This record gives sequence, structure tokens and C-alpha cells, in this order.
Amino acid sequence: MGKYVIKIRIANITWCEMPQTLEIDSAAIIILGSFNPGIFHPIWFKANGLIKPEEADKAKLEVTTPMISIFGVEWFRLQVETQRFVIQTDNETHFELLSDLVIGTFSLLEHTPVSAMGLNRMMHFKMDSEESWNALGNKIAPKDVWQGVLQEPGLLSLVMQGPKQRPNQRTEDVINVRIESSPRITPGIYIDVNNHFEIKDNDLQKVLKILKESWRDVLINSRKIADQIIKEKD
Amino acid sequence: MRISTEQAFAEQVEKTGYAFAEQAIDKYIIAPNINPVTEESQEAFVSDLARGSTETPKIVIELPRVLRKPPVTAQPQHRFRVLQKFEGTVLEISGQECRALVRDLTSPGYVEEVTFSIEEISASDRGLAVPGGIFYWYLGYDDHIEGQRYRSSAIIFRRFPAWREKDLIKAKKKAESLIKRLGWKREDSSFQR
Repeated sequence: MGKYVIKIRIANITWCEMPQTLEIDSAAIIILGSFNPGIFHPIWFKANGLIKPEEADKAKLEVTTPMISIFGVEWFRLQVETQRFVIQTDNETHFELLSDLVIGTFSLLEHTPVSAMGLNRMMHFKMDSEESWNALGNKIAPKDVWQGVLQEPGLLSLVMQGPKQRPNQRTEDVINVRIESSPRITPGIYIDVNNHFEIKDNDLQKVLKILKESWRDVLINSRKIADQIIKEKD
Repeated sequence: MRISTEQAFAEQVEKTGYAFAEQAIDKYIIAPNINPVTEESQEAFVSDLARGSTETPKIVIELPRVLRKPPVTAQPQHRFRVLQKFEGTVLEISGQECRALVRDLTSPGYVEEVTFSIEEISASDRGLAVPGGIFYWYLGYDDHIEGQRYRSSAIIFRRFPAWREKDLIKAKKKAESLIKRLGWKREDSSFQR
């Protein structure tokens, strides 16, 4: 280990504690269109300088066929079918790089026809207790209507949809918020915020523009939505 | 709230280990002992695409003859909690030091010039640490499952595909058009490629 010569004025950095309830934080970019899965191989990414050589060398290749390609490296997992491109990271320090990787990939595959894109943030929150876990379920899906219909009704999954807000502009873009019991944290809540963009005329450039201009804001907004829902337990 | 089949499986893994949970798998999925590429799973898969959904897919394609079962859902061994993140641009590499301009992404508006050792940069990213190179710098806590917390810092360089001939031609045309619109005269011969 060499000597440290960091001279940053650390006093300006706020070492505040973030809310501790968010246990697992993932992001995914889904693109619908027409893809050639065979291309999506670690060697192709390495050859184009999109991932580190050692990442490509250590990639866990699950399958590569003309119909589907799946592989993962330390920080992301990629699954490409003929009509869908899915890339996901569970590492918050790589959220920005996920977008860079998709931008880099489709800057090279510039004639790919695309029809829709989803920018997703998936969060698992740990709840203080089983009571607060149930309280949240009761708050967002009141059980009154189910009395006499089901015995001991319980919320398994709920999806709410609303249009994406853009000033003075009609849009088909929507936000879907899915709330479920977390399969990974007990007692926990899983919130998946899906920002869905319709892409007209197979306009790949629009996809790249949204990623360049909106990815960071989408992630921040998705977190705000989740925080707002979690607050409802109180 | 109710737990999902995935959670039930995860709990089973927690209680009895993966091998036993596998034996008990028929409690949690509808048709455990058949090839997953059934009409039913194909139908679900096609309908998912037909809806045009861009949510993270739940149906994971698996190789033939592999049982379709919920993924192992163990808690991660550690998690990096980002407290502060910066986007930086390398200004100069001098000896073992890297001078850079960093912009706070957590509190927009904060810009600072910093100098740090190139030892801070992972070996595989050092080739990208040249003037103009862009990186992300994360400061936070690395929380381990056993409860230990480490204060941690990570510098990761952005990667873009190499410039292609046609990209350079396009950029040159754009620059020429801009120069023309601004009414400037081109004197710098380095503009020629």
C-alpha cells in the first residue's frame, strides 16, 4: 500500500447517516425491441472497451445462443432475448455505470429497433417489526372491503400506475409502483418503481437521450416514491 | 401482508439448507418435475412480452431440464451504503498523484479540486486515468452481514466505446458547422485530423 496523499477538504463532506431501512437496492434497465442475443457476449463487451478485460475473463457465462444470451460479471447481470434486453445491478456504486454501459452498447448497435424502455429501481426495506409490516399493508390496501369475502385477507402484491409528469406535454410514459412483501428481508417490503417510456418509430436515439439526461433523476425520484410509501407505516 | 412463494422458499433455505429446500420444492411451485419450457411457462413468457411490460421480468429463462424454482434469496454478505458521491474529471497526472476536479452529486453545486494518490485507483482503471478521464468517487460504509462496518471509498472510471472513424467525421462536421455559424475563422491546423 503506497502512502496516501489525499488532500480533499473532507470537512465539507456531510457524513450524515442515511435511513438504515433500505437493505437491498438494485437498478435495472429493460429495453424492448429486436435484438440479436448472440452478440451479447463478454468478449464483445471487452473488445469494445465497455467492460474491464478481467471482468470479461471472469464473467459467468450462463448461455449464449441465437435466441438468448445470459451472463454476469461482478457488478451486473445481463439477459438478452430476441425481444428484450435486461441488465441489472445490485450494487449502488454501479448505478451510474449501468447507464454508461447501456449507452455504450447501443451507441455501437445504433440500428437496433426499439419500442419501449423501463428504468427500474428495486428496493428491499427492512421493517422495524411485524406490526409495522402489517400496518403498511393495511394502510395501502385496507381490508374492510375484503371482510366477509376472504378469511384473514393479506396483501401479496399491489401495483399502482400513474402518468409520468411532464409539464405541458401529453405522454404515454407511465410510472408503475409495485409493492410486495420482500422475499429477501424479513420482515421487509419490496418496492419496485418502473419508469416506463414508450419509444415511437424505433427511435434508439431517444432511448440514449433519456438515459443520458434522465437516469439520475429517475433513480432519485424512484427512491423518493419508495420513501414516501415506507413513511405510510407511521 | 402475505409472504410470496419465493419468500417461503427462502425461509425454507434458511431453516433447512438449500438441499432440503430443494426436496421440499413441490410445496412451493406448481409443476416441479417437468421441463420448465412448458406451454404454461411459454404462455406466461409470451404474455409478459405482449403486454409490453418493462418491469424487471420475474420469469427467468432457464436451460432445458433444469427445474424451475425460485432463486436463492439469501441476504447479501455485505452492502456498500453510499453517503456521498462525486463525479470527477482528471486534470493532471503528476508522478504518483492525480489532480482532479470533483462535483458533488449528492449536494449539487459543490465543486472542489482534489489531489489523491493514484494508488487509490484500481489497477485495471489506471489506464483510464488520463487528463479528461471521468470517474465516480463513492464514500460510504461497507456493512458486513456479521455487523462490522467499514468506512470505505471507491473510485470507478467511466468506460465508453472507442471513437470510430465515422464518429470523428460526424464530430468534425458538427464543429465546422458551429464554427461557420459563429462566424469564426479556422486558424488552428490541429483541427485537421
